[in-house]
Amino acid sequence: MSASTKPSNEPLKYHYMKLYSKILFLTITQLAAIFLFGVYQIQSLYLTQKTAFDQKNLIQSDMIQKRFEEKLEALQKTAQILTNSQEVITGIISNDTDMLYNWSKLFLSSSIDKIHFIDLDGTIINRGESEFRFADDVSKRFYVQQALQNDTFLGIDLVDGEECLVYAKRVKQYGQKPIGIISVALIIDDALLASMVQGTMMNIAYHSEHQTLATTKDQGLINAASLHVMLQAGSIKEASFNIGLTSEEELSALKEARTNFFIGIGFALIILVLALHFILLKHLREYKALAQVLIDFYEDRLDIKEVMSTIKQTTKERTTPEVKKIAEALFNMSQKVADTQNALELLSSTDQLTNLSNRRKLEEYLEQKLKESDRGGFFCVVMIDIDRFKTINDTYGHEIGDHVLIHIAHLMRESIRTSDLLGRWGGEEFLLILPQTNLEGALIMAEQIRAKVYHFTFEHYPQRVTMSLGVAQFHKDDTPNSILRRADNALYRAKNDGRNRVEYED
Amino acid sequence: MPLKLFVASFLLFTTLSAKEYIFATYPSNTPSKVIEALTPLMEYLSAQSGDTFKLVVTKDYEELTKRIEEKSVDFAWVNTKNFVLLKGKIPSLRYLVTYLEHSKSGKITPYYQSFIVALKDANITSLEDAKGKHFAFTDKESTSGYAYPMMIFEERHINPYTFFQKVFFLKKHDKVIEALMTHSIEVGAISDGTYYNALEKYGEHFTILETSQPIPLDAIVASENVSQEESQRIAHLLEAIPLDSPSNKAFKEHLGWASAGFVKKDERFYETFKRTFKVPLYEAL
Repeated sequence: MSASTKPSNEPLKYHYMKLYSKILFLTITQLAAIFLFGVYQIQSLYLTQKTAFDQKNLIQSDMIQKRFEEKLEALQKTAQILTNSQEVITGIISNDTDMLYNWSKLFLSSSIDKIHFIDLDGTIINRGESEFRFADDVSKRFYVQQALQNDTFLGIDLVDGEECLVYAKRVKQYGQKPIGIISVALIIDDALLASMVQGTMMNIAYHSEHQTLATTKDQGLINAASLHVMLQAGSIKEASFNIGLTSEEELSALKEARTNFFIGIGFALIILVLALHFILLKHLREYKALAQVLIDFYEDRLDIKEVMSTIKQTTKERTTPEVKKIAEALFNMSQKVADTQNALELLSSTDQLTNLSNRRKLEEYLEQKLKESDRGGFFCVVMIDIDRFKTINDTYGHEIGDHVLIHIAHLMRESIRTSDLLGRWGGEEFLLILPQTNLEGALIMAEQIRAKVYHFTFEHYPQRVTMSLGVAQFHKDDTPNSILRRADNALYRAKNDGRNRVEYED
Repeated sequence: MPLKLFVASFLLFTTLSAKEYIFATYPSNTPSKVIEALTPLMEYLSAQSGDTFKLVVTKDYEELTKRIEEKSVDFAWVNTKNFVLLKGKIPSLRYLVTYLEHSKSGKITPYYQSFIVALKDANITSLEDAKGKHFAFTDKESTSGYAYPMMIFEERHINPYTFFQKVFFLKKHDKVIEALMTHSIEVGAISDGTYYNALEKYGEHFTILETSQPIPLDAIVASENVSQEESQRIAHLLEAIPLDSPSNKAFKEHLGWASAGFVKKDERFYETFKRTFKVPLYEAL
């Protein structure tokens, strides 16, 4: 693999972050879009409701305004009727208290609390609301003076100590000669205020220098607006009527719903983003872990077995099905790689004819044993050679020669231990490495092999086959060559001493 | 036998000479109540005189006056003012008796009076003290509530419309009392009966500043249809009504009048009333 394609942790991390960022960004974008749409919808609903609410308030304000104007009109109409009555005029001229009382009784109502007939001196001739209370002087009252001077007065003034909406009109005999005043008044009290806002959601408050009245006692008015009243300036200072709401309960519920929605959806958004963050991290971490295993394998930090072990561990862990499937696929692939690797390894270390280890394998094993001897290991090697094998080949052909080699290899394999390594050293020569075996043990093993082959009858070869064996024991500071040389020397001696025998060199 | 014949002849004469009289009166109350109140009187007169007295309640004073003038009634119960007016118009009208009443003061009198009273706590002890105060009459049509008090003022050379700060008209005597008690006025003109009722109701809160001359009560008159002798006979019968008679009880029961019968007075008894016609009205002042 070229360096440019070699993976590393850095790009993986980069890609991993990029993927994470992309998913997170897209998700947040979508959620934000939903959130914004929701906000827009709620805000639109709120504005629609608020418009309707304001419209309703406006209508109700107009209604109250109208009611107030009707109250004033009732005062004026009543005064107008009374001033046009000839009997009333006669009653005022003659101070006929009884007649005036009888007239006023006809007009007193919920809209008119007080009817006073006053002569030009400012003396009350009759009070409609109190038959026997009269003859007192009200000439100093503002509304009386105004009516005497300007013909009429419509405003707020104190009438018998009570703040009233009062209309006072000068009475004229024959339409010319002033003879007195009629004042018609409506007391500004809680009942009046209540009647004005009856059936509405609105509240009304009256404020003057003397008193403050309101249809609601505890709360102030929201969005208060003054009534547009065409009243003359009276003796009562700072008198004003204000209408408004005590609470925007209806709107508050909507506001609260809107706020709750905003908070809820905002909270949900945060939760979703966090959940997404952790889910992404978890999933990507698993992918990353799998990728890291592969990278470690490639960079020889892990062999294929460790890779398999790690992946197998992953498949056992609680993970998502997707990751589990990938891990299983990777495990199966690793298994195949391991099998192939094993097969190649076996192929590269096995002699094709005898199925024994080949010379390369024997050399590696010998190297390994020599290394292990540093930690106290010991071993013997046996160099084996088939006597006069060239004659077999020459006489019976190579096919029979191979047949003999195969069977001898088989016989020898049956004789050795699993920890021993037997291999074809070359031609008709074999090498047996016996770990943790001293010279005596090696000689016994060599003798058993020799005897077994000697007594074996081959199927396609009628002659007895013998072998010469040279045994060498490991010495400290041995090299492969040194120990093999001693085994070879022993083999040479066995050949020289008549073959079919075991010799050793210490 | 001659005696029997005499008695039979007398009874026949008496029966043939018995008359039927029409006794008319004005509607001082609802006609049914007036009828119930006067029926025992009619029964009394019929029983005592042997004649038949039939009661008629006219629609109003005008009808009564007209019927007396037309002589379609024989006897009539008229009020003081009507009597004085009728006597002026019909000099031949015969005066029989004057109605008697138990006064609230405890006396039985054929008259009542008008008082000018002030509130005690106004510290007014004389009419002079009342100058500049608020005063109330009842009604310009009222005898005791306006005419006789005006006569008092005339005698004292007082013009009430200038003497008092303000003069009001309250229609009814009781309302004058209520206005006094409310302190709307300090002085007022009322009948003696109203005064004594107020004493019972409110106690000694009032000072009588002036008392009017006696105001004669209603009179019973006879038209020219009735002879002088017959008139005298009926007048005697009326004067003879006992205090506990069914007639007096019926007046009390149905009209609330404390009737004590009738008394024959001199016709000059009503002369003082003529002065009331000269009492100036507000418009004239």
